[in-house]
Amino acid sequence: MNKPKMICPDCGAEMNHHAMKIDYSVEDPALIDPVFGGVVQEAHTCPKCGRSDLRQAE
Amino acid sequence: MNNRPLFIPVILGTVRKGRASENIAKFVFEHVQKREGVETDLIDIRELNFPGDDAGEQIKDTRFSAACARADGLVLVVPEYNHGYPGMLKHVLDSNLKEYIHKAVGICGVSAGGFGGTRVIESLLPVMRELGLVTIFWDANFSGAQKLFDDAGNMNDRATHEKRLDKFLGELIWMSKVLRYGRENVSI
Repeated sequence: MNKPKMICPDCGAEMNHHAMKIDYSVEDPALIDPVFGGVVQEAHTCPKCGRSDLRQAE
Repeated sequence: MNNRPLFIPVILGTVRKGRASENIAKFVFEHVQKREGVETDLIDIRELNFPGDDAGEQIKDTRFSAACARADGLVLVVPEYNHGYPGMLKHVLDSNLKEYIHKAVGICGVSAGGFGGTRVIESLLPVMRELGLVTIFWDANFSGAQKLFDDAGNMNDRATHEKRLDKFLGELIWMSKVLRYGRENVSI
């Protein structure tokens, strides 16, 4: 099941998911994806105002 | 397509006293300012507030992070020191991540010798990639940096540098537009 779209905290528009990045700095083993060796983060950008944010992927 | 102007700041990537890159950064900044539909700023890393006892996203400078978050592309003006990039520039760049992802970057190499900072540009490429930035095809190269400007601040061989910079900025602006469209509209 797809996660709901991120909503821009600045303008309320639906953000666009355009990139993935692995965060290797997290030390909590419960959060680490064993396939990637870190926490997979999604990068989202707002088409209305250009704001970018990260959130943890499922 | 979003009609907000592009924002492409110029980052002067050295804090050294007597830096020859300062005049070059001003020259580049002046030319970015002339581009229609582009807003810019000249960011001097000497003026930022970065402590030396920690690193990474723990030491964000509010002004620098806000400029990178707003940016669609970056111009780095970087001197070559002992065939590498200035450590302070790396320290500054490492303070952001989400602010850079899928944004364009063009690098202006500066050197005292005759190779126009080619080695510093090459050494920066893997850093740019890991930060999520997308490098353009063109570089801008400034050789003989200490003698490139006369005492009055006039650039020698200005027409040649302007012609090269025009190509560099043309591609950087194109890449900035394309990546903005991708970030905002094309899903992974």
